[in-house]
Amino acid sequence: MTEPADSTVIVDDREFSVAARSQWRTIIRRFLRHRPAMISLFVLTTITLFVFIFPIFWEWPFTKRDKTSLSSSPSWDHPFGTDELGKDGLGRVMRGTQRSLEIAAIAAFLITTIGVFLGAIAGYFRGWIDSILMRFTDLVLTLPLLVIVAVVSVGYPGAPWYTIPIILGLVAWTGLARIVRAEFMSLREKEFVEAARAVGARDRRIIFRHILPNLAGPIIVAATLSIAGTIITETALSFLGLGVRAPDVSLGFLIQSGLTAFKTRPWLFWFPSAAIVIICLCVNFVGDGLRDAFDPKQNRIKA
Amino acid sequence: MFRFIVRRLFVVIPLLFASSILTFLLVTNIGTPKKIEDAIARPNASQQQIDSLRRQFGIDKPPLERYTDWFSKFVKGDWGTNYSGAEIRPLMWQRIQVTLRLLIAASIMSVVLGVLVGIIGAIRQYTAFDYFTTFLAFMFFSIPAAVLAGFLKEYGAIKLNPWLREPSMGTGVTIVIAAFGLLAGFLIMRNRYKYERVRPRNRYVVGAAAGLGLAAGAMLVFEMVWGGNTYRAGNPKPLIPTVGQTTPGFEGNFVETVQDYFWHMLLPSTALILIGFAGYSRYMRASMLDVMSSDYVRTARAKGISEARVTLLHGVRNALIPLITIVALDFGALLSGAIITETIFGWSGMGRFFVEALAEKDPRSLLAFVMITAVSVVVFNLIADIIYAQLDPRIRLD
Repeated sequence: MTEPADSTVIVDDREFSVAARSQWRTIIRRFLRHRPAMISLFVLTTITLFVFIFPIFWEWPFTKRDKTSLSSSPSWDHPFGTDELGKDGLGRVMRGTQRSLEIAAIAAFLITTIGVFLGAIAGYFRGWIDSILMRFTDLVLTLPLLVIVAVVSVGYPGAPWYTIPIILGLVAWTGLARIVRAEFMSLREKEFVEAARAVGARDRRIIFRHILPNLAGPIIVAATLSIAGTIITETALSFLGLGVRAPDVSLGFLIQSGLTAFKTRPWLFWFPSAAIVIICLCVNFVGDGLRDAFDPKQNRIKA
Repeated sequence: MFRFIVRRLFVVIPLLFASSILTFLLVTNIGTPKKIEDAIARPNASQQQIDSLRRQFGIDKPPLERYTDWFSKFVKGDWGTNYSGAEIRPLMWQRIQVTLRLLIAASIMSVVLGVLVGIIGAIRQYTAFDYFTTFLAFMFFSIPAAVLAGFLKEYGAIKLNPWLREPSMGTGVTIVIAAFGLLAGFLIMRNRYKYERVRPRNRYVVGAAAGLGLAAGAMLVFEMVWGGNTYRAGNPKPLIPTVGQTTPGFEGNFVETVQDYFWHMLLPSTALILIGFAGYSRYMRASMLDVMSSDYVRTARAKGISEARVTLLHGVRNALIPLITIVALDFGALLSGAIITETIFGWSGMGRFFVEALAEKDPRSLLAFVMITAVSVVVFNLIADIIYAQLDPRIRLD
């Protein structure tokens, strides 16, 4: 019977792990109590699941034309109406939402990865690496985001849809990089980093294992908010005719084509617009809830 | 201060130089200008014509030579001609003025609105006003400019203009306004006595009556001002224009010109104000909350200074510091800031300049556009730093 010895070890272990997790648990609890954020998360999840699953059962895919009802207003057969070619509004909005969410996901991933990586390196190593990276950040900041993406998009007209989020991601990381750098600058002087170095941890380990977890809050918040930012930028691009290209659709594309026939077919403008506003609103509220959850003071300046 | 500016110039000038190289690389990859594409597509196009067009666009040489050629001329102020043969510099100057007229007015309004709402939201935290403005701010954060501007154009002008010509209020509108008045009076009176132990029993009745009275008064004023306005009824011109920044060929005295400007600016600036307001009010609220919970505000209160003085002199003044730098940075981005809104409302400002240059794939126009925006971003970055150091004595530039 070795149980007593074992159990003490387990108890010790559990005690330690509970203490370590409790911080996360309070954060999660605080987030779960944030009512707007929870409602938004629920709506967002529902919309996402709906637009990815429901098209399988829906009889009107986004390219199929119903030649018996051209330009019809919302009805039972076509809840979101049809356009002048008889394409179903609901099918197109679902497809457009899919695309917009995919674009947002790719761009947000890139923004977060690049921003965190460059910010961490600049803030941790300082010196000439920091100077070079920050001058590079300044350089990217001088060029308007929309303009860069628009110019690249015109230069390569045949490019597939995912080039847009990739370019967006390659340009829009500057804000996050600056936040991460500033935090790294102060955290690298803390005792726990010195302790880690004293026990022989290498730079990579210190950066990713010791310092980065402290920044989970601001990074998660920035990543969330960049989703909404990307969706809105994509709308602007599509409005200029530089977003995804027909026959493919995104929400921005649908809004743009809806605007051209606002007078005769307002529903083609309303439904994609509503979709974008609801999605961005939910994302922003979730971001707000996360910010409150991670921030014990709850009144910190917007990151 | 002077040393700081000189030192920054040593950073800024190479930065702008690098920016020009990056821009040039971007723009050279944009493809053949549309005019040349069209010329090539023509069946009887001679090589000579195409060559002369290439010379006209300045793309007949290898890239490096083109860059040095363009850059040396650009710095001297010779920006070349655009796709239609017009000089770029005077054209751009004209467009910048149009854009600035719209954007400076809109920015000032949105800053003022944002600051006021932010302050009230912070000192009345977690009240109905705070929740309502927070929701509005989130709402306008989440609306793409194209949606907001398109919506305003349709419902703020195209649908509204016929109504403005013969304004009348149906039963539905009257009921809605009356209900609004009732609700407002009710809420105000409820909040007024929220924290008092003795509450007048008839406060709801008084509030509702006052609200109704206000609504009725508003409707009466409306009837008197708008209802009897036969000038508008006989005037064929729509009151709220949707296209352009002025009435083409408009001649009038000073007051009429200002009126013309005003009505043309109304909708596009509303769109920009609402979007700008969202950011500024959130920022101001956060900054104000931060300041009001700081030690020096507590000290000021402890000294017995009145709450109004504490809020305005200790609170607002300090809370404005970070906001002002944000505003300065935003001003740097103004020139390229309203491409969508300008396009929807048909303004010929910088937005149109860019959209046209992009459609024509005109390298020189695009280069000029991006360089001007880059310079303005850099300059206002510098200004933001200087302002920040001037306002906050804890920060030293040198």
